[in-house]
Amino acid sequence: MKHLKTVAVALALLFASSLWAQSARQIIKRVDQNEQFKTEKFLIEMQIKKGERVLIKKMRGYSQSQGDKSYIEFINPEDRGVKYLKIEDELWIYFPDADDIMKISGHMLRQGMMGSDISYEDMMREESLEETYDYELKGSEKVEGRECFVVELKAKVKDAKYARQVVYVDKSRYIMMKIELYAKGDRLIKTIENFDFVKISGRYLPSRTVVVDKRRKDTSTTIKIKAVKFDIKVPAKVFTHRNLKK
Amino acid sequence: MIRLKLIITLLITVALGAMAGSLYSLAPETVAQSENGLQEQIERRLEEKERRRRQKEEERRKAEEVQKTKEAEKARQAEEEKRQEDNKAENGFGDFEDFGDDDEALSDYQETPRGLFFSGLFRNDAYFADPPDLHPKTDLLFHDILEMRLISEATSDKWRFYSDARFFHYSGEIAQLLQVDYEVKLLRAFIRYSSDVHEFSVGKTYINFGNAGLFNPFELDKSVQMTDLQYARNGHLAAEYLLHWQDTSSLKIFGAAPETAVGAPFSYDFLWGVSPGVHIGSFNLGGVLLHKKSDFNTAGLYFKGDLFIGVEGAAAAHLDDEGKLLYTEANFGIDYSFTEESFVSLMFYYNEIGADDPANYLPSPDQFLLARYYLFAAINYSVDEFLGFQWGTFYNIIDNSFVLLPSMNVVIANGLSATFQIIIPTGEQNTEFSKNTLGEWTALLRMESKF
Repeated sequence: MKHLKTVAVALALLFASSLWAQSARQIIKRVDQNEQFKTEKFLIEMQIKKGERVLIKKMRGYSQSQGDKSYIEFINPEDRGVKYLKIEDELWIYFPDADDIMKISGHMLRQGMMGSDISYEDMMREESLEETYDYELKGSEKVEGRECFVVELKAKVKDAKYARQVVYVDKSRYIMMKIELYAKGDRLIKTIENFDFVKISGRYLPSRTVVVDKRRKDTSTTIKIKAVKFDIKVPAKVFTHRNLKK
Repeated sequence: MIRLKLIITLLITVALGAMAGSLYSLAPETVAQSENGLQEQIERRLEEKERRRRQKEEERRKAEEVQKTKEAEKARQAEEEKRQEDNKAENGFGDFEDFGDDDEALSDYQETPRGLFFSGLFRNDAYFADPPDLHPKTDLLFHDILEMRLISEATSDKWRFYSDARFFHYSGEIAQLLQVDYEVKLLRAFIRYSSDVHEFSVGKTYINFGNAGLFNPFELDKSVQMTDLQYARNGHLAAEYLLHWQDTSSLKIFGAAPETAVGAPFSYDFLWGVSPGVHIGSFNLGGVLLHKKSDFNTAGLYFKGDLFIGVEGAAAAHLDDEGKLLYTEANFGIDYSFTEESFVSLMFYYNEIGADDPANYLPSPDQFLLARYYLFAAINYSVDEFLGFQWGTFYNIIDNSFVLLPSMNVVIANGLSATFQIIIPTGEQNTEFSKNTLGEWTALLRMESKF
């Protein structure tokens, strides 16, 4: 009898844990669906802040999920004409001063973009959470007044951007309100918080994102989306060297 | 008769009495009732009045709210329209959402916005140096270069005009050396036509072959400025054609007028070159065939890509017009980013025509430096977006001398930065990086403002 009870409890726990896992998977899948797109056209302002000093970078460009391609052109006066082309893990930069295209080594994608808290990887690479991480639902918490699922993501592939992530997902909209990024050794290295959500093309999008590098004092990078459109027709010629030199 | 009168009188009296009695008995109630009724009526009327007043107020309030909402909506729309106009004016992009989903009506992709753009910078380089032994006796060398740069760019769908004009003002040692106080240079001015496949450029432009950067064997201008390894070179009067095939591959063909000294007869010995480049895997690969001048031709290969670290290299054979080998030149470099803030690079350089003995050092415009073998190492570290450090070192393997190039860059504000660099030669006498010939140290303070 006691034995039967133990088995029953074990089965119940197994069933319950499978329910939790299923729930976390569904959450992440819905987040992915909201964030994945075929193509994207954008106009962005990036504010890099340290103390009272602020640098402003403005850029426009296109992204395409197929082939993991991005094209970015800077339009603020100080960097006008500098262009980036990213195809999968390769990055080329066009410098108008030299009128030349320079290939940047793949490991340099970890570097901060134009000196910001956001790396080239963060900015230009869309990572499918479902394909890259194992996840576990940790509970609920309120973020900015919104009830959120708390989901822990642990990298299951070698080239994942971060070893561990803790994401706070809005329960009603399935969008990430906040993300904590951890390196190996479980060191918190960055937080990303999303604000001012707008609904565009049927999906919710933060029009303002604040990235804080926890390893640095009193610095932050704010990305403001000035305009964006998803799943538009983007010619293949956009993601080519010839477009960099035009 | 009297009885009748009496009866009538009695009856009247009784009636009056009854009336009086009833009146007396009824009056308070009636009055009360009447008063109550009146009161109620009054109250009802007051209530009615109050209700109507409230109703009117409510209606007025609702009407005001509706009006406010309409005004707010109008203001929001006006603001939105203004924002879109500002966006369009500033960036050439309208609000994407306004394009809607009708792909046939408007293209979702926009070519580079058309227009005329100006940009530039002010730069002031102040040099302080310990004088070398051969210099007339003085405690400190100083010179200053003020540079003003104006970039003009006009673009359309397929055409691009670009010019880079510089004004230099010299003071101190360099003014005496150059024997001028100021100079105006047009570094580049070219027109470029780009289609999906073809690209034509004509004018004064840079001719770039191989991997951009230090010790490129295909570099036409082989001067090295220790204080500014990426200094701006003078363009060549050239026509260049680029055939783009695949996204990141191309065939480049160029022809350029020879550079002749002022007053010298015009030479028909044009520069020309051909360079195919492909992208395979994570590597850029290319070949170069170049005619620089009479009896000086270069043929070679280059590559750049990723293994677990970044690697690049180039090898060139310099030939005379009959194909006889004059000498070879090559480089090989690696780079790696340990953290998000730092990366290191190391390059080995070989030039067969370089001297293998300091006694045979002979400067040449066809050589970067004097010796046969070199190493260049650099470490870059960014503290944050506003402060960065670099340490570079040139090492002459032949005479074991090296020069240290530490520098610091500070971003003061948007478009305003300062760089402080020191050059420290360490070599003994008769070495390339000798303190005797280069001085004990040179310091550069650069202020730069972009607009």
